Amino acid sequence: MIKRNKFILIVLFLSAIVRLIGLGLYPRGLSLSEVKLFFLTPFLVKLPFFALGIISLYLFYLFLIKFTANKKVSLIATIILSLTPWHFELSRVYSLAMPFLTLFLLVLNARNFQKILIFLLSILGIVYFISIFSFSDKLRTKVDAQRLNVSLISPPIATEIFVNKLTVSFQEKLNTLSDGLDWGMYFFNGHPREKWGVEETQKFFAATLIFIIIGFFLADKKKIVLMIEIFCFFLLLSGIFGKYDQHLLLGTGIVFSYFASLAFLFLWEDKKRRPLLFILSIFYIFELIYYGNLYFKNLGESRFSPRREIYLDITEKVKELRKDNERVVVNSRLIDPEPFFRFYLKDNFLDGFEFREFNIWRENLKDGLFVDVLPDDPGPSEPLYKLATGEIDVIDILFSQKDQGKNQTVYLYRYQ
Amino acid sequence: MKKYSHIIILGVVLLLGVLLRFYKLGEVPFGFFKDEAALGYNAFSIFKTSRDEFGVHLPVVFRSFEVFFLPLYVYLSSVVVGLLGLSEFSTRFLTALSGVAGLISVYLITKEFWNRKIALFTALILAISPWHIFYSRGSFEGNLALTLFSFGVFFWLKFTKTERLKHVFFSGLFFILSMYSYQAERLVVPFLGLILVSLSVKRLIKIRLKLIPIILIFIGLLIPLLSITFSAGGYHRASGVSIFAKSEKSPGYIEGLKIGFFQNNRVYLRTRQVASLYLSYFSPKNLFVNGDFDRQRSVVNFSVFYFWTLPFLLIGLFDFIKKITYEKKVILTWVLLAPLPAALTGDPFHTYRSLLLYFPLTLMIGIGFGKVFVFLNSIQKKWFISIVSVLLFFFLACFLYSYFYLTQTDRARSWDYGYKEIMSIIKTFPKESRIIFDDPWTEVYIHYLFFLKIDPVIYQKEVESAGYPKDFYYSNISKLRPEKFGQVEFRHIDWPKERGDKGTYFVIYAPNLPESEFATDPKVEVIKNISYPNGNTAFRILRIK
Repeated sequence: MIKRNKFILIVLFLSAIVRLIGLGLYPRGLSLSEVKLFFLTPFLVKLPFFALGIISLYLFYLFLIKFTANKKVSLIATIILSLTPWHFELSRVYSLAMPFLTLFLLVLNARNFQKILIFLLSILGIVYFISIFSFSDKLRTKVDAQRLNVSLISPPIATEIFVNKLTVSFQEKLNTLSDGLDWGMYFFNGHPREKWGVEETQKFFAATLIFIIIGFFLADKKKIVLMIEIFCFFLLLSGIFGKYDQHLLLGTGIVFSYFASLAFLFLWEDKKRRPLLFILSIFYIFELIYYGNLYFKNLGESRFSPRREIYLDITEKVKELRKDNERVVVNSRLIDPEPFFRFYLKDNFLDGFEFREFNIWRENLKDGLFVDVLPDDPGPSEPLYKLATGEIDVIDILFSQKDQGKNQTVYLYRYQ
Repeated sequence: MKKYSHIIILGVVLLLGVLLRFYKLGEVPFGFFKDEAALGYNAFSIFKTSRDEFGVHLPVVFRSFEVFFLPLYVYLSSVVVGLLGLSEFSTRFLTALSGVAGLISVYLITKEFWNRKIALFTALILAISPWHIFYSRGSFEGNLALTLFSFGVFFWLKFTKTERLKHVFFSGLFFILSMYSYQAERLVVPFLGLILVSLSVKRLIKIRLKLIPIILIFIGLLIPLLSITFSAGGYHRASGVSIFAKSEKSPGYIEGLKIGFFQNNRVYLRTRQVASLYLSYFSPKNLFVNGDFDRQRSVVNFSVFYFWTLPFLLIGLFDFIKKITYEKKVILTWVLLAPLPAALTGDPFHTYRSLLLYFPLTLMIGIGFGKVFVFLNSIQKKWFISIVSVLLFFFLACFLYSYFYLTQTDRARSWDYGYKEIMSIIKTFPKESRIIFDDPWTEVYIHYLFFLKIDPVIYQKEVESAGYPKDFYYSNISKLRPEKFGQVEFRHIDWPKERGDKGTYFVIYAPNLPESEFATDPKVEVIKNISYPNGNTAFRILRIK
């Protein structure tokens, strides 16, 4: 039995410090899942995920100690995992990924973890296979559309053989599964969909990829096989759940961090190789600072972020502008406004608030404060369309703010 | 394996390759893409007049719309077009032939430097590869370049084995010819050449004096190519698509944030963008599932390789890295250099610009197969062959269905479907009829020239009549071709203004002119609605009474 390294405590302590900095403030805004616990503060909502993040790091370290019998590899891999943007971010927000990773690492720390892993992998494989045979109505419509498209040129028998629910479902499942096989998803901002801005959050620093490739060729076969099993486990998991939560792939961080640590040690142990380590480390540290700089400026959020920071400002403004018991009408086109108002106003009942879809031109009762929304590129049928052209004159705009993630602007107004 | 059974299997593989590449070549793909028409018509023009469509005598670089392409495909095709006549088949013939030659080349490389069994596996994998079938069935000069390049590699490897001068000569010759075929090779071949030479310095020193005449021949062969390097036609393609030429910001750039070392750092973001693009060519998702982002360059539901060949690629790759030999070094260099031209352009996973990559990857898949095969005992081998055969033919059947039916209906517009039928109808119109194509980019003219087999001399005279110098279209990139050819015009149609032009024929892309715009007008006669293979209306041919 290899003794644990006391440095792990320092690593965990530093990881905890970094994760606690501005826990309630960064990233700005909360997601719908987070605001459901309306009686808590943002800090307290996120605290369990922070705790799970630190626990998962420790469990990862324990697993590697057992698996590799190498204290240095275990420690370096833990540091690498701790520093990945992916693990760091998911330790600071609500996500199913973190509890799932912790649970999985608990399994890996069990005595017969290899047998359990094979068992789980088989179960997932079976579930994945069965899921191919579950045909939704959407899938049936797709099959019909494809068949119709080829009906004029394809022999009917061939169409039935090659275009059916099974083939289309298989193709769809394969597409979902392959999301986890894209380098862009892990090391860049979701290439090749990206074209501008931050489309998806970065999961690992690009420099890590070189460490991982080197590490892969250094690992012995048995360990590679186990790592492939772990990778396939998460791949199948994300394949089954579809695009519901890409962060379910977080567990692949175990695999990548392990290989990267092998490379780090390999380059460190020979003086001749150290210059390469030095160069790679400079890139790595540069990316780390670059990332941290943006993250703590609240500029690291993905375009697909579930967090709605707009509600922070709107609710604050409503609080400020609302007269005593004044009626507040919030357009439900803001997308789920009620739980956000409940959370930020710390009011479970929200007396005097109405959450519904409304049209500025059709409101009979014009008293009160209105919270409305206008898309960035409005069509003439939009109720607030004239606002974009500067012609509207029946209301007094009291406040407006751009809702970045949803490409719209939110307005607070009263009728004149 | 006995020699005769080996030859029989090779024959079957080649026959399969020929069948998959030549069967209904003129008809499938259904449409005939504008670039194909440009290649075909220029080949026709060269054959007839030794001048291109603009009247330039034997150009080193051809112009197709706003794109400049290298000449070898046109010159070689001019012979085919001359012999078989101008048609879709004759225009695509060379690429299909290159595809078959590619099978021979991959077989030779693997047979010579691995073994005969692996060679058969590899040739078979290439013969049925989605990417290779796809690019062997459209007029893609990149496919010709790829085959020439692969022969260049073969002869180089052969030279390193035999140290015979003729092999250096053939290697260099094929490499240079590939540079005359497609832009990507212009970038890759010089880099590969330098690396190959540096890997074989000792061998080359041995024959250094004998090399001098060969080097002189190579320099002579390269002079025309070098001479165009700094002309608009020579660099426009590379500079036009390069990410460095694009004004758009790199991914990760945050608008409104100041430029600094740790934020909006343009060098970092650009480097990361190139790295991201480069690595996207090795992404299993792209290689095995997603495929090209462009509808014209992809087959519905299929990517570059069949997804089930992924494990064999990994095994092959592992074998390459585990015990590295000279041949493996050369192939790996090929793999690493191949995506460079594509990565330096802004488009994600552009399979055509990275065509060079898939050949050595196919070779690795073949080697992966071979390695697994060798590892098994005789009973397991039978099982392996049976399972692989089932997978292979099942997915080949799926691919062929997708290619011949699903893709042809789904991608008909991307392949410029409909122009052949339009031209066959226009041919019947009275000679002096005024015909206007709704064609804001003046691109349909090439289909007109191609399908009506317009005498190149007549079109060249039309171009000349504009009064520009002969190489005008090669030095003025922004200038398009003439919008008018005789009584036929290729331009945007202003329907409300022009719908009263008596006797005029209009050819309009159907979604641009809904039926409600003319159905109740007694003056408008619908000559014909041209439909896509799925029955939707593609074009309308109208006549004003």
